[in-house]
Amino acid sequence: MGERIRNFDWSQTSLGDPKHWQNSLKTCVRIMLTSPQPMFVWWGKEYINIYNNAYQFILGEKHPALGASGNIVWKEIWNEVGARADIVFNKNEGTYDDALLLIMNRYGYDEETYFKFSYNPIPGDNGGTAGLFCVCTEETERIINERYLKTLQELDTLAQKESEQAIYEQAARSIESNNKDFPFGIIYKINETKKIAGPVAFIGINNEQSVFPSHIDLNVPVEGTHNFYEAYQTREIVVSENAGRRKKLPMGAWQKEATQFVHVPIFIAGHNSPIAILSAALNPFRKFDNSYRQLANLVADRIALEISKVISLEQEKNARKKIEESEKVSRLFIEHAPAAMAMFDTEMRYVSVSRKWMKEYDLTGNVIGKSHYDLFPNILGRWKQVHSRCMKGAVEKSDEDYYEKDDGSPVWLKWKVRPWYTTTGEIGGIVIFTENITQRKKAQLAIKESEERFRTMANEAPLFVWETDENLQTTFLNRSGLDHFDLDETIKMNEISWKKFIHPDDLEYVLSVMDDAAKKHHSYTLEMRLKNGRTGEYHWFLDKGTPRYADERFTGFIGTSLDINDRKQAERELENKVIQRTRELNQQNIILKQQNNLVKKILDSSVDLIAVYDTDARIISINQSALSAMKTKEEQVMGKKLLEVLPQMKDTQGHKDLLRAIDGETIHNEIYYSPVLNRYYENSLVPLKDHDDKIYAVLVMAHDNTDLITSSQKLKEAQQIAQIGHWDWDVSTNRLSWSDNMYNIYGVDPSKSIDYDKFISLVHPDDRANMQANIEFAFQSRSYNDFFHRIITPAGEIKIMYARGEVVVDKEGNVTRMMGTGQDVTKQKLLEQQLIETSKKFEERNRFIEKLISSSLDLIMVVDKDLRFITINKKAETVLGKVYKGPIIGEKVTDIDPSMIGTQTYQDLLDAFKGNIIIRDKVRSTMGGEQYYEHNYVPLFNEEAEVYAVMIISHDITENIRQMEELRKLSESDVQKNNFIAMASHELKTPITSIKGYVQLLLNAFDKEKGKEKQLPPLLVRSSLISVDKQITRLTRLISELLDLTKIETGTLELKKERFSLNQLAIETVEDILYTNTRHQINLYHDFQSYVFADKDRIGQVMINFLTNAIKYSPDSNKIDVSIHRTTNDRVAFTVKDYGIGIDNEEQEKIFERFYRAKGKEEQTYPGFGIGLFIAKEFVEKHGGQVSVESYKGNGSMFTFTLPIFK
Amino acid sequence: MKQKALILVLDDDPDICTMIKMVLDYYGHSTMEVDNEEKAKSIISSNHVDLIIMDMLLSGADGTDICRRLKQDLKTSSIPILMFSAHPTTKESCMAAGADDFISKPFEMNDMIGKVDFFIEQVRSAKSE
Repeated sequence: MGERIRNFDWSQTSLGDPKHWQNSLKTCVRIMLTSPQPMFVWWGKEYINIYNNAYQFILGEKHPALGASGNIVWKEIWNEVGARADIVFNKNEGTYDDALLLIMNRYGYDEETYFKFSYNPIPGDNGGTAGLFCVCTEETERIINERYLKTLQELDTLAQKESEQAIYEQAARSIESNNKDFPFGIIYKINETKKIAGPVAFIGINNEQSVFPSHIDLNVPVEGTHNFYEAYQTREIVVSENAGRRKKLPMGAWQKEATQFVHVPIFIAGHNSPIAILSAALNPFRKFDNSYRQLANLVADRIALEISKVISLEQEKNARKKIEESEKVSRLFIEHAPAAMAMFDTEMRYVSVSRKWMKEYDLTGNVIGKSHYDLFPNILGRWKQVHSRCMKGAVEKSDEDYYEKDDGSPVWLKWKVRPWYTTTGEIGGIVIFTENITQRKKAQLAIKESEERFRTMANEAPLFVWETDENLQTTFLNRSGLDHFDLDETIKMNEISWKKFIHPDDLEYVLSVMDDAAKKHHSYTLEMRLKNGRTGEYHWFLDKGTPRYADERFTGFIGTSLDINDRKQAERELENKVIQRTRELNQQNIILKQQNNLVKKILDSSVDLIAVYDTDARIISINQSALSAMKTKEEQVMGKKLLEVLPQMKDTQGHKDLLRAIDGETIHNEIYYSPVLNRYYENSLVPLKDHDDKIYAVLVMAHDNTDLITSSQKLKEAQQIAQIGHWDWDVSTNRLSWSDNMYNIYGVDPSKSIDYDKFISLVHPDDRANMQANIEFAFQSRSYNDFFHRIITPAGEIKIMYARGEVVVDKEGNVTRMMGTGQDVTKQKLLEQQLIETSKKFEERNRFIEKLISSSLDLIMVVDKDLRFITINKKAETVLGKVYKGPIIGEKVTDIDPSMIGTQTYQDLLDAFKGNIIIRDKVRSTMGGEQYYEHNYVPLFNEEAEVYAVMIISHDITENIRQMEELRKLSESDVQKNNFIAMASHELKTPITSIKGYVQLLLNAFDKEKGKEKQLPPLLVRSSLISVDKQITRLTRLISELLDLTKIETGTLELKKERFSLNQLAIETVEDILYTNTRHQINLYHDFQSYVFADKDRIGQVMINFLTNAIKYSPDSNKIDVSIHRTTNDRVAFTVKDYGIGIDNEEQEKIFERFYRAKGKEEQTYPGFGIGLFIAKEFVEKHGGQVSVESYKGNGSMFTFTLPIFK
Repeated sequence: MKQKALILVLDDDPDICTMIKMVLDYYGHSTMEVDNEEKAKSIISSNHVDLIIMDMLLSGADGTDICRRLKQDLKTSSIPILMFSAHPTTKESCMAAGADDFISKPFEMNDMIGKVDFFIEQVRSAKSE
């Protein structure tokens, strides 16, 4: 610059030649030229410009401006500058400005600049201010940068904003604060889907000024918006020129309208297009250079950042809101649930809780988030276990859980716990429902107590006091009465209908008596039956009541009731006894009468004389033959004493016999002569005994032997005239000679000669041997034995001979002659024979009749045509009495046993009435019990040969049947045993076969010698070994079942008993089962906690058996319920219920038997020995327990075992 | 050179089936298992079965009956049947029912393979004629 100054022609200026310059000027110039800082000098009134190098840059394009007038050079800013210059020149004062804004045009455009400068007066040589010296620095960049920074700092406020709108608005405010760089603008938000941009915030303008379009359609670029569109499409800042608007634009900080606009796209990650565009007017006094552009970018980025933060925050908020919503819903639900329930997370913290729960457990305030265990540190350990199990997915419940509160008061709780699942299917925690049933339980217990009390009270004669209103509705009942009817004090009287406590048969009577008493103004006394509220039994009460009146109006009764049941009972019993006795007697009469008839019919056919006498020797039955012999009629003798009918019999043998028979002697006379009847009899007198072995009658049977006797007598006589013949046999000459009689007897012509051979030929062939023998004997013994022999006459007549003889011997002792007689005893013999036969028949008849009447093993019943019982014997009475209370005689068979209608028995009975004798074997009793009978139906005919009754004789053959059953069972058992052995060996060999197979396979694979190249892949080896292991397990189980069975059979089963918790064992067992059986869900219900004293292993085995059966036999189901509860008879029961194929009734009886395997679907049998249940039953029974099953085919089964509770 | 054959195993016990299958597979044969007669027939009708190995004692059915029926039916009679059972004494009844051979449980693997090979060989040579 120094050179330039030197070379400049200063003579053209008012300064002149530099040689002539004033010293101060020269000094300033010299200083200036050596200073690095921009400086200049304005000299004189023309403000001649002299400056240094550094100042050159400030001049910009105005350089060179040496020697020019400052006011011309800087005419655009002369307002500000000139003013200051004037101060210097006129007041001789310096000026100082720190960052003065000067809009200068040094690069061809109006530029916003800032300068820090000072004007200093230069004194002239002549005094006064000759010139002005300036030192300046351009501050433009700094100022503008500061401004930028401030703008960005303003944008920090965006971080506090929580919504998109707020951000845009705040951004607008922040940008507004820099209205120099952004005189005005609009932020447009872009609707992606509709592709429309709409203003969302205004910078430096308000809506009404509408300088920018209000909505810009981004689908179609429109004239005037295409710059905007470009910014949208290219995601780049687009600068646009002012396209000459008619409307006046806001100018922001300046006095000049903007000439340029910028569209800055704002975009965030995840969006392909900008979400907003900042359209702003630019500083008219600045070029849109890089730093300006950078500012715009930074602003846009900042906005974008905050927007995206907000968006994600909002998304998060929305999501959270949704969860909160649903949580709120479920919380509301739980809160308002009528039951006490609470929902917990996996840490047992409250998620939500119902009001009832809060109230129930004395919780106040907000418990959400608090830990349940913190709130209840003394919670029962076993409940904690339940919670933890349910957290793993179990569902548990208890219908009656008992525990004692801290203060000792008892609580009964019904509860259910189950897990709840999040939307991802994981367990989020558990839900607990509880219901306090203490009151109910207490009530139950109270009732029990009151029962005790009642019983005590009832022992002292209870007298009730009661009152009624005019409608006979009870208004008061004293304690005693309340107790009797089992009413609570709190029960309102008008809610009970006392009439229902009165026996229906007495009700009408009672009402009418009371009514009468009320009308007639007098008290009443009556007896009625009242029902005991507790037992339901009716007791007799003595009821006394007095009507009350108020002003003549009936207002009700007041009275007392006294239990007189015992007294009444006694009266009743007496009455009954009398009736009973009378009936018995009548019955006996009837029976006797019937028996009479019965016997009569049978006996009437008899030729023999038969009569039955009672113990007073009255004739109660007599047959026709006897009547004929007595020459009398039935009606004349029936019921009359013997001596009345035949007084002549007094002191006779016959009468004496009768009396002896009445005393109990059985008498038999072979020959009895009745002087009264003048006949010979063979008779029997048989005492008849009833079921108590008391004699009630005597049966007298007499066979008229007179003819026989007389004929025997005749025989005797005849014998005297006897047909005897003589014979003479000369042994030496073998000459036989007969007398004439002999020839007669033998029917041989006397003119013919007879010899021994001829004689023999007439002897009956069957008797010849005997004849020979006897003759031999005669020779040998020299004596003759008499003997009988038959002969056959030439005419063919068979006769019986009685041969007598003598032997004649000579001196030497040899038999020389035999002679004797032969007697025809044919008739006699025949008579004898008949006698024997008759007495046999007689005996038979005796036996038959005795049996008939007194047989007590068979049931004998006689029914009439209406099927009413006419008579029954004791045995029948006993048997029928078991199923039918009350008198049987007179009742219809079908009333006593209605189930018999339609049976074979019924049919047989009807058939018998048609006249047929029916015998039916092996009839099972329809009247309960396992009895088998052989029924005989015998129709009884009257004189007109009509069937008037049927006699049913039933012989009990149960024993026979039972024996046959035993035999069958034994053989079945043998068959079963054989089947079992066959099946057992198959079952055992199956796993062994598997094991052997795998082992051999492995051996082969690892055997190098045989040269097998093929190796088994390790995976295959592993799976083989796993299979082997599994088979061994299977085998072990089978063997131990077999061992158990053996131990049971041989009685060597030993039980190791200990005290343990059945519930705990159940839990463990179920867990074990669940490890290997995942198809079924097993629910365990603990109604009841119990200990038992038993062999833990074995009971566990039983549980396993039940469970594996349940699994095995329910392949299509996936649920099994197990429960432990108290039984009605104070034992603990373990029950397994499955929903599988079920078991039909027939099989239910057999499944606990040995060797029985239940049938499955399509008649398949399942693997296993079939002895599991049998063993289970044995184990349980050896502990004093029981097993049982309930099931329906197709509907699942329920197996239960019970054990005694051990405290 | 062993040729691959299709063997049908008929037994209601899945463990036995698995074991036999493993062994036969190891020796290069292919195996199919069924547990009743119907399924067996269905397999035979849609596949070429070279040999049937079956248990004499099946639940719900008698192996010898099934064997008899298979031998009487022309569609199945040509397929050799190897029967096994836990009782050696039942060999006669198995053979009487038409089984081509018998092996008792638990079986010697080499024995069984030997028999299988024999039958496969037989069938192949018959086919090649």
